[in-house]
Amino acid sequence: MNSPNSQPPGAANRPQGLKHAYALAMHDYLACSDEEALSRAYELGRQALTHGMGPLDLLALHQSALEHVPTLRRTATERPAAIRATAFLMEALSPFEMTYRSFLDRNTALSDLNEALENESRRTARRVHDGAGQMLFSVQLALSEAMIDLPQELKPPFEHVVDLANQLDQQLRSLSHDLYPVSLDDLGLNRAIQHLLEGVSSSHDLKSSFHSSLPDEVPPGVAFCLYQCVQEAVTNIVRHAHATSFDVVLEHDDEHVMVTVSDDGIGFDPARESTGGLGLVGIRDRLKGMHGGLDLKSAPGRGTQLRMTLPVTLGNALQKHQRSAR
Amino acid sequence: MRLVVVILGADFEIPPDMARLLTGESVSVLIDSEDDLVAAREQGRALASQLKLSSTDIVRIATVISELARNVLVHARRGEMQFRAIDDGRRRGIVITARDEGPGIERPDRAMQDGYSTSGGFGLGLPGVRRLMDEFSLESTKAGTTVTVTKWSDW
Repeated sequence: MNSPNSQPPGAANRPQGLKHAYALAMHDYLACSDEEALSRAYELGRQALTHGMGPLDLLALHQSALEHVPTLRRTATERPAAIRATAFLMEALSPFEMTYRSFLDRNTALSDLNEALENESRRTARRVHDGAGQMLFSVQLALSEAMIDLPQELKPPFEHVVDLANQLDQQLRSLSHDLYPVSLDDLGLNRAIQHLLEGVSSSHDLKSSFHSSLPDEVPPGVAFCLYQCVQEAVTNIVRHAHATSFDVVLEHDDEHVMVTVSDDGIGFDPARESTGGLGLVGIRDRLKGMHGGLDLKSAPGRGTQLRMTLPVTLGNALQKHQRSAR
Repeated sequence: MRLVVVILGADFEIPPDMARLLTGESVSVLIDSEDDLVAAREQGRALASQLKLSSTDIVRIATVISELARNVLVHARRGEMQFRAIDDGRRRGIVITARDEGPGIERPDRAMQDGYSTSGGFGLGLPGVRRLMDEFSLESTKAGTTVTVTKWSDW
């Protein structure tokens, strides 16, 4: 039924037996279209699935069978045989439909889990920021009050404590910020990003501009992802770009949110530079988790432009935005 | 009168049981071997096409019968499958019941989770059956297991 050279490349590790069994079973089915033959198709599909084959591998089996089953070769021009062969294929594909549906369900479960984890980080960040942070603030206040009337020679050990408390304050702030930037909830997406950029500008003596046509009412997970991507992109600029200025633009169309971060720094050759060393991996991973993508443009001496895209249906949020703008 | 049903170009003669099925009575198939699995698929497919379910729904029904019959053969060695046509005034549907007197499923809730099914992570077995059908129920005790599923016509 099969000449030795007819095997397509890449099929070597595919169970040969299955290919023959499929062709044989289809041949029997075309000779006698009974339920037993269709049941065999189903069992073959099930075996193919457990051998790690996908729908396309199965189509390849089918294709090969179409070429080699003698019944079909003789009746290739007759419609009924081809239609029946398709019916046979449908049975074999049916287990894949079950798997496909189970993957869809699990995908939903995973995004629910992701959302739950994000909410948890958010609550923890809030507790660190508002709870522990506020308490520390009271400690700092009490310390400075206690020191007012203290004789000069007793002050140095207290100054050491003040210094430690300040360091603790810095650590709590950065911990809370890494978990979830509470400014996103307090200020909204646009002002939170603006706040972030102003901080970077002033502490690193860089000029920056920020333009956004995006409403604040994007889903919380999207806002978090956008904020983190901008933060990492700007951190990259500070660390590697030797830039004097950078621009951040947030835009959207009906189905996407786009973020562009560009700088006037030294740039690099994207083909030669391993992206891992540039801290782009984190951005890429975050975007991938939200089914988004990253586009990088750079050349030595010509700055760098990062364009990040996230698929988001902003239907409701945008309508609300447009209503409030009117 | 002889009825002939055309399924994707293949002709099947309506078995004598079909007359009873169409009046709402149920027909049973004993499940004791792979041959019985095939007989059950035949019975279910004939009824589903008689009820004018779509060709993809008919494939789903055959799939469900294979999975349920396989469960019976693997876990209880033998059992029974029942097929019945129903009508709720708006739609027609097929009810399939698989019953066995095997040792029962120890943790029915787990059997319905993808990871615990005997098919591993592929979502086959009972979780797969539930996804393909409109209604699904599972009862399992030490005296045996009964799975009942319903598929309605689209209109």
